[in-house]
Formats: sequence, structure tokens, C-alpha cells
Amino acid sequence: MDQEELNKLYDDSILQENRQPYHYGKMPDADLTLEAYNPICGDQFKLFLYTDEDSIKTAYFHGYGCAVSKASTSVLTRELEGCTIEEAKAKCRDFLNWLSEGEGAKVNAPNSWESFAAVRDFPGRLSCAQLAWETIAKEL
Amino acid sequence: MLHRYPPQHGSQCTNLISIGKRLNFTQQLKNDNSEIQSIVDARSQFPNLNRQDHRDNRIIYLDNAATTHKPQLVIDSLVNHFSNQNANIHRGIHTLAIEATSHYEESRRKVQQFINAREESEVIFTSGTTAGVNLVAQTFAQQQIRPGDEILISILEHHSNLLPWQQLAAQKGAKLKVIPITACGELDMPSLERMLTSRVKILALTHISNSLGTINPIRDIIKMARSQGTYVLIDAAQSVGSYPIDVQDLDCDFLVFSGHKMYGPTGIGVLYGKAELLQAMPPWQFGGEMIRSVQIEKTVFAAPPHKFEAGTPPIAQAIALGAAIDFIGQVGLEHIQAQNQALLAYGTELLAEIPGLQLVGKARHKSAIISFMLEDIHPHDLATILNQAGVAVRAGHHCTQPLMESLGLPGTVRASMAFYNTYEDIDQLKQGLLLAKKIFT
Ligand SMILES: Cc1ncc(COP(=O)(O)O)c(C=O)c1O
Repeated sequence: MDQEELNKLYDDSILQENRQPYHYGKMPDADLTLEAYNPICGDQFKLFLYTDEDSIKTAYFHGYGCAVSKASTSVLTRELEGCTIEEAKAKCRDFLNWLSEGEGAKVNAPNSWESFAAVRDFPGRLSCAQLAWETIAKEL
Repeated sequence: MLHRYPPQHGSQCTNLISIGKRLNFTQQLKNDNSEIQSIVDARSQFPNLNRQDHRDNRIIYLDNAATTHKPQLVIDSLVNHFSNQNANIHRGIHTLAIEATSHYEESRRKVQQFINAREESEVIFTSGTTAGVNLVAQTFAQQQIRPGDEILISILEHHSNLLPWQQLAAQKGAKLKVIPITACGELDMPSLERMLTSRVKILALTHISNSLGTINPIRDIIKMARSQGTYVLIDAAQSVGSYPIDVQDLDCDFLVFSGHKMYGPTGIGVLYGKAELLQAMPPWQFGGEMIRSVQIEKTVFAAPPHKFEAGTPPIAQAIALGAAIDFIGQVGLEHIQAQNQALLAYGTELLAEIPGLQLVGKARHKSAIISFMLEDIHPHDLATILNQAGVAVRAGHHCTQPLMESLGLPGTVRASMAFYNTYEDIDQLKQGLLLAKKIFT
């Protein structure tokens, strides 16, 4: 059994984000609510955004999914705050590019993304890391 | 309202069965005219059981409820058809066509005998269970169902025995009613008795739940339905090939199954229907092979089974399904069944030793399917870790979303065994789960 790959996927940072996700809660009074849903695996998160003019002041999320999708949604939620809508969408496109293309993508990947590089070795799990970022990139 | 599973333990849930005597893989099978003299021999017929993954782990296949591996006999049958026969059936008068037709029809006879249908013409080849249910829903039921009628299913149904009825009910203004289950995952019999009135035109019920493994007492239920004048379709996708099925003894009107879950190929399945019903039903699809005579103004359709087999069928697959039945005969259904039950008992006992593991589905009568949750680890994370340990399981809703919702679960991990699995396979499953616990705590 090769545990090394597993330990990379389930590293401290992903497990920590999964266990104690950032701004995890339902916010019915948010200005914008988006749903990230993967019908194939059933993962489902709601993203709650409080906006000011066209920038995102605060973000929350709530829902159900695997450790990878939850951790990735948690990181996204933290990183959305302070972005304009356009910046948020661009950031999500960058993340998705970086995730699928690796170091070849001309993207400045912050440290917070590094753990998710491991999903490249788990093709079935790529969509878990992508889910919420794709929702923002396409639907915001 | 969702409730957490299980709400309460009914006293009638299964207690852990103690293992009893260990499986005897070398036991003589008393087959005189077969190469297969033991379960070890039978195992050796499945080349895919030796597959390794990219880390050189032998792949332990515990996803048999999704599809089983194929024995050499079935693989050879497919290869032989394309290498040595390959002709279209029923319309050729050359040697190859005559041979292919005869093998195709011989396979139908094998199915007939295997499920003890009265006549060959009661066996219709379809592309699988899903096609069989749709065929019945869109022909027989299309004619039978009137506004206000009831169609009864259970909460255990696979989507393929739910959606065709849901759509039909909506189209016809009929009511779709759903039999609930008890806390241990058995059909709630008092509810069933209450719901099964003469208003119910059709009862469409699974024999074995693909998610929980529950074996439903279909023989008794069919009797109850008969007394109300209700027609019955049985989804036997999880049972044919693992348990004896005798359609005359069951007295069901229709029974559907898939070849690929009984060691046969994909793309082929069977609809059994009572002769008198099939005769009265309109065809489902129209085209070649299903006619007696065609004029531009009108067509006279062929008699069953051909009436329901429009177009060129999956010939090689149908013939290979016959080979799968031969293979099952060589091993012996009674041995397959005994092996499955022993694996279920062993697996149930072994997994229950893992702290924090919750079995989902504890019916008294179960097939070799073990659904479970481990602490609050998501099923997909568990499946990834198990895959890394070389163990193939399924995670998710298993095409039974309403069932999962009624259990208050987003999904489960499902380990499903076939007779060729071993205790060591299940030991490895346990090791993988212990690793998952370690990673997540
Ligand atoms: C109980 C049950 N019904 C129906 C089906 C659908 O079978 P198929 O996809 O072969 O049509 C399955 C297979 O997953 C099943 O387990």
C-alpha cells in the first residue's frame, strides 16, 4: 500500500480546512447566494456573498461534500473576500488552470493552493477541488 | 424530515451472524462433467481477478453489485462469435447466419430453463434491466394505467425502477406510491399491506436492494398482489445469478435483469413476461426483425419474443449470456449462494469490529452487500483511500437518491462481494478502513 500519495492528498492543511472550515455557516440574508453542486457525487455547497458596490466584503459557505471539496471551498471562501467580482472570477479561472495544467500554467499560485496539487494524482478527485471555483468562474 | 440513520434499532434487525465454519475453497463441487471442481478452480476462470493497479497492488474487486467480472467461458464466447460466426440473425440462409441464429436462440432456451419460464417466447432479450422496465412501463402499463390509478414501488428502488414509473404516473395522472422501510432496512410490511389495495394496478419491486442488500420476501408479496388483481414486475438485477429464480413458482407477471451482473457481458439483459400478457402488449420499438408483414399502409407484427426485439440485437452478448449461464451451472448456484452468505457473515462481523463504523442496512435476509459509514468521513474520501489500498468499492448514492434521503445520508460506501472473493479480500478492506481512520484522526 502506497501511503505517500495519500499523505499528500490528505495533508495537514486540507485536513485542517476540512475539520475547521473558514466562515462555515448559513447566511440567509447574503446579497448573493450561489450553489455549487456536483450531481455525480452529490457534493453540494452554498456560497453566501456580502457585496459592497461590486466588491465582495465577506463570504461564507455551507453544505456537504468530501474533505477535498470542503477544504477547497473553504480556501476559496477566504480568498474571495476583498476581491471585486471580476477579480474573483479571474482568480477562479487561474486556480482551475493551475490545477489542470500544473506548473505549466502561467499563474502565480499562492501557498494556500499548494496542497491541492496532489489531486492531479487522483484523476477521479479533480472535480472535488474544482467544484466551488468553477461555480464562481461560471456563475458569478 | 430527514432523520439520522438508524433512528432506532428494531428488535427484528439482524444480529451479527457468527461465522460458523470457514469457507472451504477447495471443497469438491461434485461436478462430473466440468473442469471446475472447486471454488479455487472457479476463481481461476476470472482473468481480471489478477489485475494489478499502477502500484502493483492486486486489485481487490468489491464492486460486484455494479457489475461482476467475466469468466473465460464468457470471454471466449464473445471472441468466438466475432472470430468464427459474425453474421446477422434470422434473415440469412447462409451457413454463418444459420449458426449465429441457432446460437442466439439456444441462449434464449438457456435463459428460459435458468429462470424456469414456461415458454421460450416469454424470454425477451433487452439491453439490460433499465430497458426491461422501460419496455413494460411504455407498453403494458401505458395501456393499463388510467387517471387516478396507483403504481406502487418501494423506497429501495434503483432509479431505473423508479423513473419510468414516475414519468408514466405524471403522464397518466396516476399516483406513484412508495412503500417505506423499517430502521433495519426491510420493507415495512404493515405499510405494504395497507398500501396494496385493488387501486394499485402495478407493483414494481426490487428483489434485492442494490444499496442495502435487503432481500425482499417477493414470493409472499406477489401472492398478496395477486389477491388484489395487481400486476407485478420484479427487478431481479441483483439476484439472478446469485440466487435461484423460478418465475413460475414466483408467479410474477414480469421480471427483469442484466447480463453484466451475472458474469455475462454488458449490453444484454432479459425481460421475462407471461405469454398471455406479452401477446396482448403493443410493441415498444419499431423496425426490422419484429414484423410478420409490412405494407406502406399497415404492418402485422411478429409474435413474442420477436415483436419486442426490433433491429439487430446484441447477438454476441446474447450468446455470451448463455455462456454465463453455463458457467453458473458448472459452479453450481447453491455453491455461489453459500459462498456469498459466508462472505457476508465474515464481512459483517469483521467490519463491525471497527470503532465508529456504522452498517447501513441490517435486514435479516441480505445478499452479499455491505453498506456503511465510517465516523464522519465522507464516502468518497473513504473510497479514495481504499482504492489506494487496492480495494475497489463504490461510494455515493448508488442510484438510489430517495433511499439515501430517507435515511438522512448523502451516500454510503458499498462493498459488494461475489462468490470469487475471499476472506483475505475482506481483511484488506478492513486494513484500508483502519488506514482511513488513522489519516482522518
Ligand atoms: C437493483 C438494480 N436495478 C436496476 C439496475 C440497472 O441495471 P442496468 O444499468 O444494467 O440496466 C441495477 C444496476 O445497477 C440494480 O442494481
